[in-house]
Amino acid sequence: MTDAAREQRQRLGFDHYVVPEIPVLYRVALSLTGQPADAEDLVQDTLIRAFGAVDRFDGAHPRAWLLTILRHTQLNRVRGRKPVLLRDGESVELTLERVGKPEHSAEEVVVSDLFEAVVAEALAALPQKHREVVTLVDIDGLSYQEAADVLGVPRGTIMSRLHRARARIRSRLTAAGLAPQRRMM
Amino acid sequence: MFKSMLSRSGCLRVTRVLQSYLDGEADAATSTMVAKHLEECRRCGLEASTYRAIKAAITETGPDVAPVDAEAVERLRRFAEELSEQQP
Repeated sequence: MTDAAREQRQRLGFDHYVVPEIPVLYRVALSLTGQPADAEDLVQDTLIRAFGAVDRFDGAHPRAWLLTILRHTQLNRVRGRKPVLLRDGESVELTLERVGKPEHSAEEVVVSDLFEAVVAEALAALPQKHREVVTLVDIDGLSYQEAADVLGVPRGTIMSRLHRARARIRSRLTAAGLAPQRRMM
Repeated sequence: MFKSMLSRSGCLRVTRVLQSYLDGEADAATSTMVAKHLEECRRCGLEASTYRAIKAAITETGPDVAPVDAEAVERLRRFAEELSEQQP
């Protein structure tokens, strides 16, 4: 392949496979770094690496390919640094300050806000490994496999962390009287 | 007695795959099995509703916790454009 042909292939591949995934990359980078400026830097570095490698990319599963590059890029960036916490948890008070939905009764609004507040608190209290999986799947909308690609763990690990994380959140809700007792089987 | 044991084994099977089902990650046969069981078993139905509500609350928390900055995405698109247009 001539240099010109390679460059052409590189540009086409980049525009076709990489550019449409920028919003997802940014969202995931934000979850991983917890800081908008760091997230933007991380995505820029990821784009540079992807640009350099796209002419060798076979076209299968571009998002998984990009998330893997993003993970490696992030690992390189944080090497030697202490891991950054995802984000601060939201307090019950702050969540309760949110505006209620007008179509519901005052009582429903209070119960609904309280439910969300307890969930937010329970989410913030999770171990980071569990919280990041919940964030990637429930907030960023990644599939199990995509979350596995980002974190470099097997899909089964994603499933077990999610299961444990949600069970903990559920326990908090039960303790607050907002969810039924877990049944015994 | 026999019916109760059958139902209990159905509950156990559903409990194992409930999260995957709620996340849309279960295969078609499993999804059909779970959906049928949730219609018939009030307790499992309640369990599924609780986890649906948790998932919805987390998703709703999302925009507050992780705002996706449209301007940042736009800057990144421009960066990608420049990267793609650059001469080696």
